[in-house]
Amino acid sequence: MIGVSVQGVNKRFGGIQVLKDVSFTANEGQFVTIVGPSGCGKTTLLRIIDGLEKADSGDVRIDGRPVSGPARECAFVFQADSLMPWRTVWDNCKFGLELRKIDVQANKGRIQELLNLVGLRGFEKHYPRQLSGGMRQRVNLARALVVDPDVLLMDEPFAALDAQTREIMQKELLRIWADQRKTVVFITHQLDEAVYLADRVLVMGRKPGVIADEITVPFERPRELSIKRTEEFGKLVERIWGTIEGVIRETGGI
Amino acid sequence: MDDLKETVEAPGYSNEEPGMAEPSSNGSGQELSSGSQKKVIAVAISVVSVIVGIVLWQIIGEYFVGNSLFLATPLQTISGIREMWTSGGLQEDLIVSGQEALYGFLIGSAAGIFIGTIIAKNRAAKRVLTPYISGFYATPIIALAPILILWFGLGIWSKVLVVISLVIFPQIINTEAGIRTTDETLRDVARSYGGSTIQIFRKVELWWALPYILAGLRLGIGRALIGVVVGELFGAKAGLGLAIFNAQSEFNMPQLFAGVAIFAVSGIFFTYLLTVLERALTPWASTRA
Repeated sequence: MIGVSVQGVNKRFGGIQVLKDVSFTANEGQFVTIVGPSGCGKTTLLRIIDGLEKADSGDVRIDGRPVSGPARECAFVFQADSLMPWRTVWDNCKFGLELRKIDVQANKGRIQELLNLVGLRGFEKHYPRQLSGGMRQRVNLARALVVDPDVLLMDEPFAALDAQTREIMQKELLRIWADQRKTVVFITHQLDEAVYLADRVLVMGRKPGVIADEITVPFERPRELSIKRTEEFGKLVERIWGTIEGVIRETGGI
Repeated sequence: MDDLKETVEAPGYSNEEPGMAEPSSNGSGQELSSGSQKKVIAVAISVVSVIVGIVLWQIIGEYFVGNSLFLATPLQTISGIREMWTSGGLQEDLIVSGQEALYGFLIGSAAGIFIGTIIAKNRAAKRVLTPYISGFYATPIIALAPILILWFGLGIWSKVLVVISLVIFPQIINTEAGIRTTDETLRDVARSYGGSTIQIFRKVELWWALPYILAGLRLGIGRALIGVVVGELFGAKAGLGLAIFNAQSEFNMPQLFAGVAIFAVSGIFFTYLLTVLERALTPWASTRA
């Protein structure tokens, strides 16, 4: 089964072609990361998949159904600080249910289970500003999982975290993903993050944004963070960096 | 007491930076462990400050000025209040002025929140209304008070209108600023869960704007009290402002000071009440990690 299918997507903002003929698929339960230099249109692509943005042309399907507006099958995990500051952890987690008019009472057990899963048991009544960056991203993830999506769209969720916290969250994400088995499309500009998490890595070029390379990651799961120090891992990162470096040089620097 | 200075300064419409209508950050200066102890000390300092002020006022009035036609002392002011109370005038004045301030404050604030929301959500409405709002906000609107009295008479409703005209504009500006500055990412979060325009308003924008609206209410309290006094000076049948005016024309300094003191105490009291309301309604703003 195909989870996410993107075929020939084009997008312009004003006179600038942001995405050009972008095509890829993510099978159900697969973890796909998209990596690329800043300004390559990664976030725009993810917003198009979620239905927050419309493609100028091309076909986007979730579970085989064409996307027209925010899809119920998807949940979007935003970058840091996308929690409602006036809601407690618990109330933030039920936000998606409220908006989709799904019975919150009936899903209490599920919310608690997911909070336990992301390691936030006992923090239900805390406000976001009382939490660390890593904990806030755990809430972000839990909020997305609460609506039980088929597809998780993650937009550089760990970009604002410090290096150590980021590594821990990467491992945590894989643990949670192994438990929930969602299709994931994960955007990052961190090469090691892209390789460590993914079944497949898509490398994007920019101006316009195209898929420049695609790599299947061979490592077995569950993965330890220590695989990042192996030679094979290093070679994959190097190959991606080669592609991105070429893209940056061609398109005129950072 | 920290809050008092904020009620003096109203935000300007031209100056649209976030600082203009800054939501108050409650609890600043209160640390975690010794928080309650520090709070007691903070309150104690304010109380001592007021007592020292009153004692100084008494000493200066009694020994340096020594003429109650120039300056009534606190003790004379208190006896002034007692005279007004026993004559029965004070009770009536308090009811009249209280009604004027309360009705004006409630109607003006509600209308301000409503119009501010409309302006924030509707570009055409913003274009139509902005010149009026900037204009009325910049002019000393209190100068219109005599006209309002002329049009609407000596009863309470002319004063209610004066109060509304003073309360409404800061509230429009604050509400509009609060809704307009809503974090776009939070709107996107709501949209990605399929949130409708109304849901985005109710579950995101209104909450984002709440501290701004409360700050607008706080500004409104001081302005409502000013509106009552000035409105009654220009024409009224009863009220505390009128009593101040009458005391002045009779050179009855104790009663004049009594009237002013009652307004000052009301200002302190209602501002404090609003601070309590702010803490209750926006707990996320005051809890610290």
